Amino acid sequence: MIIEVRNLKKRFSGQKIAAVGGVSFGLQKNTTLGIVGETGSGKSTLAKLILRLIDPDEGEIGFEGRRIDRAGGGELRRFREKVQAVFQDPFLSLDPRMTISDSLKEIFLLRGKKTSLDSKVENLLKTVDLPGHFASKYPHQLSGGECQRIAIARAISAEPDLIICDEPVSSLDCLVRAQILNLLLKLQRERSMSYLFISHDLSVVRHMADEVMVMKDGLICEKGPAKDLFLSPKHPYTRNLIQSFEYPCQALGRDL
Amino acid sequence: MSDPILDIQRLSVFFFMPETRAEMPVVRDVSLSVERGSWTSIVGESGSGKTVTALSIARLAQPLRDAGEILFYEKKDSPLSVMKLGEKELLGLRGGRIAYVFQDPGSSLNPVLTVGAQIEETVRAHFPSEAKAAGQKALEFLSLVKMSDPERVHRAFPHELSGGMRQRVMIAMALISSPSLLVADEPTTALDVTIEKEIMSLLEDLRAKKSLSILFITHNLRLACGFSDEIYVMRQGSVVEKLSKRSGFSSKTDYAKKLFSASVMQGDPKSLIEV
Amino acid sequence: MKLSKENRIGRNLALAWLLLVGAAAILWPLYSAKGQAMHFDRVLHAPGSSFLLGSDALGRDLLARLGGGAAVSLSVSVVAVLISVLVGSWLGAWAGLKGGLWDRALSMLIDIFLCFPVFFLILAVIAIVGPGLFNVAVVIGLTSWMGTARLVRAEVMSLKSREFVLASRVLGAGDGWILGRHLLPNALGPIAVNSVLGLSHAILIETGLSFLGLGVQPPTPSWGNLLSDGKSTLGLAWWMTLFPGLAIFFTVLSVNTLGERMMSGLKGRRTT
Repeated sequence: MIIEVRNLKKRFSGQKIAAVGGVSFGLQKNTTLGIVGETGSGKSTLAKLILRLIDPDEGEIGFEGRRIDRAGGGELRRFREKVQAVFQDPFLSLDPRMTISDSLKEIFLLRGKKTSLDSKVENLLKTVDLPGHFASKYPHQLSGGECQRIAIARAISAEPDLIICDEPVSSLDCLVRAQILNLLLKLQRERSMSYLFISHDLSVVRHMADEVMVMKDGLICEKGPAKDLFLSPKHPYTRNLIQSFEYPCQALGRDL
Repeated sequence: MSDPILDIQRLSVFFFMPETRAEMPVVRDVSLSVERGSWTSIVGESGSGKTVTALSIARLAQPLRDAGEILFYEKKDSPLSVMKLGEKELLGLRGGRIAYVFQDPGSSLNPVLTVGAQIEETVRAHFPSEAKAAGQKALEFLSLVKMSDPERVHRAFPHELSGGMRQRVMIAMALISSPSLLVADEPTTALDVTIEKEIMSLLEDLRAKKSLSILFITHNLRLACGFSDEIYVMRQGSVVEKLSKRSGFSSKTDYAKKLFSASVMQGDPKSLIEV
Repeated sequence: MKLSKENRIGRNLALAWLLLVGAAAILWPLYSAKGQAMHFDRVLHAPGSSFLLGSDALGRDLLARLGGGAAVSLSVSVVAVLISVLVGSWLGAWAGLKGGLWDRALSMLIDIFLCFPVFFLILAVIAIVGPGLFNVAVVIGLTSWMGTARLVRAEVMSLKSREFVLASRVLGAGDGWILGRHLLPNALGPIAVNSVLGLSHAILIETGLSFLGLGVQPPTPSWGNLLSDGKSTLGLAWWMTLFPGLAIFFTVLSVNTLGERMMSGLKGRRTT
């Protein structure tokens, strides 16, 4: 288990229903856990909790056997070196005033490495199938798909064991979406990484995940191996969700 | 026999690009038609020109210039040529015989007026003689779009309603003038998938009930397949292919095939998608 | 930014005036002797052949002294603005980033400072520390940081939850790094505009203080104390009031014009 979450809770001031109301699950190493839910399900808050961008009210988060939910200082730094993120909006994911090269150099500068940064940047661009001359460009000069590749390159630059993908393809066009998913799959195989893949889009989750977790109103309705969950969902909410997704195909009378 | 309610012939729309100081074709030589009473969809990625095409039908796009023909067959044998209409006649067409529903209901509704007040305003605009019965008519339309509690919605302000309910209100308002053609531009894109299903089913019901023809714009090919009789696939301003339900939406062009495999992802999980 | 003809003329005039004033200020050491030299035989001469803009009660060349006033007023204002921007940006940025108690403390501090009519606050402080070039600059700076602080706080608050900042945190960056590398550079635009507008505010305050005799002390010329000299000879020597007054007027107008141009230029760029 690379991540183990026990009874995680988070309520923001003024909320009647907690954003995350007691969530427990585990993520196996080198697998992808898909988290599916509609707006308000708490999946993004869960991502931020695991990334330690916000603090939980209650509960435990374990990373590779060590508790990190209250960790600080050195423990947190070690965690940050192994866990990275890719967010939804590709343009907002990059500092608009920095060149791509500067954005990609950040991890190395943070760790105090100052040598051969340009070649490191070039390698990163190659890893995400982008040409070297992109290094001197600014985010507004690139397309959504290209920016998202840069965001992935930045996440990879830290050489993480786990990447949390929070709706990484939701803002992208259909064909670009497929390219980015392919990239994520390729990188996972090449680098033996685990993914926590969050999306409201069931077809994407079905394609990417080994195990799936369905969230509603801050709680887990159902979780299990992807194949089983999609073929025979048990929870009525899951069934409704899948049915709403498959509905257009059913209307056509064949399996699209 | 072909009985189109809308026939777009070789439409081209040009916009002025300040960066290059030149005109840019956003829609290039597009021909498509909507059969009377059918559900026709335009599917395309961003930049495909689908929205501008839809807006051009009632000349809402305000381009630098346009060319081509748009024939609106409200009556079977006497088409209106939209490109030749004056501003006054266009005003009668828009929101009247051709109604629109857009993606974001939040920005189309006035936040300081109740929903009921806004629907009544539309009723009075289209039926000035029935001004007194506007309230009653508003409630009728709210029931038509399957609101479970029309009275409550009538009294509510837009921010008190969910996204799905706001979209139902927009659909209700669009139907007040008994349009023959409803153009819906990504009406469910901002909604959760369970709500999306409800709205799509509602549109399907209304199509039958009100003998409506629907032109549906979306980037979601899978969604379009579930409801359309015909799908036009657009790319970078042109129509790439026309798919029809009769032939099971089978596609011949490379682009449409790629779009299918990327939309549906029916291959093995965690396998690379063909694009 | 395509400006209309009138706007372009206005902007060019403003720039030209400021360049003139700036040049006069920088070159002051070269002609300061001229500005200090007293000619008792040519006291209170109207503008004419011997003195382009006239002479004052001690026979000093008004034009030269105006140039000196430029040097003084500009240097005091620039220093004051620098202080206020540095203090305001730093306070605003930390409050915006940290939120919670820090933010509430800053807001309270800003409110306290805003309660006082700034001019009287400055008068009170000058009464304690004494007048003079340096004191005036520092006091103006320390009493006009609030606008910048509010602005920077707002910018930082809106930027801190952007994905690129979150990504930086996830990479392991701390508050200081994020502030210096991501937040402040992105807030520079509004800060720059605010600084320019703050400049005209500082010029006016310094002028006012010097007019009252609490700012720059004679014999060092300042537009404010030139005006004060003019006050006592108002009926006799109109030039001693008119020209310093015009200098102040055109300078503040030019600075504000440029500030507004910058603001609309900034707005234009940010709406992409």
